[in-house]
Amino acid sequence: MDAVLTDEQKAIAEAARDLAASGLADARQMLDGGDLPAQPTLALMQGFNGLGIDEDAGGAGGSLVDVALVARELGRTVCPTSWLPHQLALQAAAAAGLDITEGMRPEARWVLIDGDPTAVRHGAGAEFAVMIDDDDVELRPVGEWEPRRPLDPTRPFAEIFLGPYLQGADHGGHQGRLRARAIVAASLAGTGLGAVERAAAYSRERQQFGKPIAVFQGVQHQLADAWTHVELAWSLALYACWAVAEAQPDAIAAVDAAVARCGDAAVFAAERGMQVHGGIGITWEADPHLALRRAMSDDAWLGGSREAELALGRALLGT
Amino acid sequence: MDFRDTAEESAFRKEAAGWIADRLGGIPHQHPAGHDEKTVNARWWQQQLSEGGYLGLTWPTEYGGKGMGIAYEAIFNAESARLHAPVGINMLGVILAGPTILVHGTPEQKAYYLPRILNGDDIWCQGFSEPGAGSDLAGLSTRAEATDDGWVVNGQKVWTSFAHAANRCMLLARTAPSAQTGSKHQGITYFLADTADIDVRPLVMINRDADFNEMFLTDVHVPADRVLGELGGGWRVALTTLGFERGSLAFALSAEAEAAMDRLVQRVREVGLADQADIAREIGRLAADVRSLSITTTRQMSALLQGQTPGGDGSAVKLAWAQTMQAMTRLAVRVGGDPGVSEDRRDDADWISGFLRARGNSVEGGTDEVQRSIIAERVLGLPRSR
Repeated sequence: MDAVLTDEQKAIAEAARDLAASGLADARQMLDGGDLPAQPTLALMQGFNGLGIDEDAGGAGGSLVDVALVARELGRTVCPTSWLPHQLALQAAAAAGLDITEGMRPEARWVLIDGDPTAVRHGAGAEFAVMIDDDDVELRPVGEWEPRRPLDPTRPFAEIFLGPYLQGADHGGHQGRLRARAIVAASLAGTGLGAVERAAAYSRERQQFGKPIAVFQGVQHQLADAWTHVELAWSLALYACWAVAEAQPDAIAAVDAAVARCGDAAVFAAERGMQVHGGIGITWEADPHLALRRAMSDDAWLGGSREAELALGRALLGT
Repeated sequence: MDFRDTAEESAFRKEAAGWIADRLGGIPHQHPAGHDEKTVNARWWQQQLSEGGYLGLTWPTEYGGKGMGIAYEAIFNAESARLHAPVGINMLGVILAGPTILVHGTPEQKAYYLPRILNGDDIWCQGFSEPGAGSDLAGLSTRAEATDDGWVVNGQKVWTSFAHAANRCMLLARTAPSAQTGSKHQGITYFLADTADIDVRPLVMINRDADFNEMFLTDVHVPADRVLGELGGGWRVALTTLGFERGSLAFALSAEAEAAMDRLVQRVREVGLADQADIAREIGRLAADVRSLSITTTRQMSALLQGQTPGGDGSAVKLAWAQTMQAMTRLAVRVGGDPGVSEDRRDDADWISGFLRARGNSVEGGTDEVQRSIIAERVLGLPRSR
């Protein structure tokens, strides 16, 4: 048993944490109508683009676990970045054996489409789209696009219109979707963790009845429950990424389990975090709704927890 | 990062699982009907473990142990739970009393008690909880007064597993009142008591099982050489015992949940509801919960093996385990419909019993509320609320 992060992985998480530090402020800016800031996306693209894709396949090497660590830190501060959707697209393209050379440029902007091109996260201004249809994978340029109004403004939506077929394969779609879902799950675990941490910090400062509300068990226990959900969900995300990377026989069940719990845990934690913030928590100016929007929105990405629960249950029941 | 067993761990797991499955073939009662038959099974299993050399895996060889790492004991306990092996009648001696004596015992105490735990001469129970001291264990009021040749103990204990079979007891009693010591944690002494003069009465639970007992101590004599650790310093010794409770048994919780999940899936198929989407979703959700327990425990054990101090993960697993066990057994009864709430068929009766028993999961071994407070304080850094 050696299910602990290596020193190298700890360093990746730490570097990602530094890059994601401005996340909440950046998210606030986008909430109020601002554009996606250039950073930390550029730095992420320079440091972590193509992570978890073999060098033979044109990637930067490393494991899907490394990607999970970066995704978790980005989720933790609700960091707005096109790095994440770009990684999902690269993972799917690489799983199909497509040429990802163009996507390895630091300024590259790809997106992943699983069937529906009407609500594509970071679709506006994307260069290429990787489309999954069952096990088929296609790469096409993005032509026109039409913005949509997202619940989570840090993941701007657009309907996109695709250009002509460039590359494709009749395999790799399932694997690509599996990898992408595992990464989103890791990000959700981070979103939940950040919500709990910020609410815990707030509860230590906010005074009522002459003492910090953190001393009240009604507050403590909500946060302890939320942390428990998030920590156990993170275990599932970590294992899912490891199992997919190591081609374990239970990789599909592992990803279904991770998606099933990470989405729920993130929403639960964001809701509890908001409750602990009391009245200020339900105002536009306070941050809790940033995590709640992110959690709800990401839990709908590439399926989400309800579909994953059903898939896992059906697989076990053989139906 | 690697979630797999090492080659040695894997070989040991295979060997242990094979041995357990083989021995279980000869179990006296395949479906123990009542408490007495369960006790027969527990005694028999303790004997098998002793003969097979699977006791004291982590103990030093000089005391009859195997000197192996904690991972191996955890693996053995996990495989035992997976294969539905009974709990050995002296489990508490092996996982709690022995290891605590190894840490705090005098050379004489180690030499006397440790071999007797492994060879089956002694059976231990744990006299910690009291009617007035549950979650607030240090608030215990059983008292021991000094006599010429030892101590005389008066008080009452509760939730004492195996007391009906035990001849020894890890007994906490107050040797100095907290008013005198200035702290309820000071003045508690940890005794290695005999149970011969203790009045033991079974405590019948809501599912009619009597896994626990009450113990009434009236002028019970304890010889002077039975103090473990320092006089009045028993709280620290008790914390060692409680630490072991969460150690080698770590995987037992998740393995028990895995085994229950397998049975639940089979139950849903048998009652013909496998193709119902709402049931499948519930099964999927619970299966994900069960997986999360196992994986978190593997992470926890790996961290422990690397010498890291345990954080709040143990409490998170305990908390989620209780909720998962309760949810699984509830679903199992519910999918049975009307026949499912009748105890006429063995299968239905077993699930009803399991459902009722699982209510205790959120209370025993630290209530949900205690686990949440531990997480709030140790993980989230919130102030003490008690």
